[in-house]
Amino acid sequence: MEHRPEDSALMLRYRDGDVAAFEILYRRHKDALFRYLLRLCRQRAAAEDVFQEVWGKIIKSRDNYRPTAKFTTFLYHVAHNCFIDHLRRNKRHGGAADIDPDSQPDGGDCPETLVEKSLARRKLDTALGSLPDEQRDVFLLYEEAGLSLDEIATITDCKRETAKSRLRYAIRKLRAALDEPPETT
Amino acid sequence: MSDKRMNSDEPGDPRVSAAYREMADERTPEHLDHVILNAARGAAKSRWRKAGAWLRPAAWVATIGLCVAIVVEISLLSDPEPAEFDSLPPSATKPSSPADDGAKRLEKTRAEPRAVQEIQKPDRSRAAEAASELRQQADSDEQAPASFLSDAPATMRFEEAISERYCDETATADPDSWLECILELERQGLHEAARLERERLALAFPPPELP
Repeated sequence: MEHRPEDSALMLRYRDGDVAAFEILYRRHKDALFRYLLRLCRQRAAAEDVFQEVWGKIIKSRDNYRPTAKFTTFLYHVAHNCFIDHLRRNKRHGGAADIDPDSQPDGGDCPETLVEKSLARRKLDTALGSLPDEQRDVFLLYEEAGLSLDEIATITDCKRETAKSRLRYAIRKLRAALDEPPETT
Repeated sequence: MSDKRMNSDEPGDPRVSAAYREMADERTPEHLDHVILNAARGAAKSRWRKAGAWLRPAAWVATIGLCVAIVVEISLLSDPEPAEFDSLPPSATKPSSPADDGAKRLEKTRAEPRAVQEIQKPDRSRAAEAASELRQQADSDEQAPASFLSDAPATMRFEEAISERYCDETATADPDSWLECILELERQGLHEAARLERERLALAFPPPELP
């Protein structure tokens, strides 16, 4: 059975100068964090900037890092705060989304399935984009980071019930979007 | 996903989750990986540099201290008795083969005791006898097995050398005659011999009696 070191242990090893530990930690979380920021920012360039900023802060904070909470909570807390800063810096955050949901289609499927999947992707992406920032944030923390409601409440600085309510609304809207019958031309 | 999915309190929806998973398959661009990993490496190095800032001067101090200790040790080893060693006969300063030893002793009997014989004119005949004895001894040493002298430690030969007498038994019987003998050695310019005899005199008779 493969030994999988804890995130906190890896962070502590990096604090002590072990760069390989940081690489493991980074590869473990990078894609989920990138998707979280991509769907939050809705713009690839902005997501990349915030992504760099987040990891930069993680690197800088290594000396003060204390494993009091899950590393994932710490990471997404930093990411959430960076996103808020990004929103404040760019108040006119209403630019058109430049995420292409069909950017990586499955190659092995038949044309009908591909069309169906593409349609579902577009619907979900549109619905996700139309969610208020708070609801989208909570949904992404729940789905992408795999955090619990308590952890989400800590990160978004709200009560657990508020986080739960936001998540419920977000899921209801997304489900409705998925159930929507395809448009007939 | 985690056990939060099992918690009925949380409003998850498997269909929405599956649809999201289906859609969200973006990966981090490689250029970002390079940038961030390089930043992490750079930060770790700079931290090490910061932490090791005191190591460099400490290493220099340790190196210099070690060098000084080695130099002092070597100088002590190579020069154990600096004052007396230079003045001793060559046979005492370095180990040599038995044949060399014999030849040197013979040479010594021809050179150094000549002055001593001059000092002790009344005992000229006894000095001649001593010289012939030394020659005989040197001859016998030449024929001695090679291991005899080479096995003897250098310190032994050194002690033998310094135990060589320049004033004979009658001269050293009382302090006055011994002192006369020493003064005579000094007059002859044999200061090292005089110094050795003076030391012996100081050992044999208490210092207050010295002039």
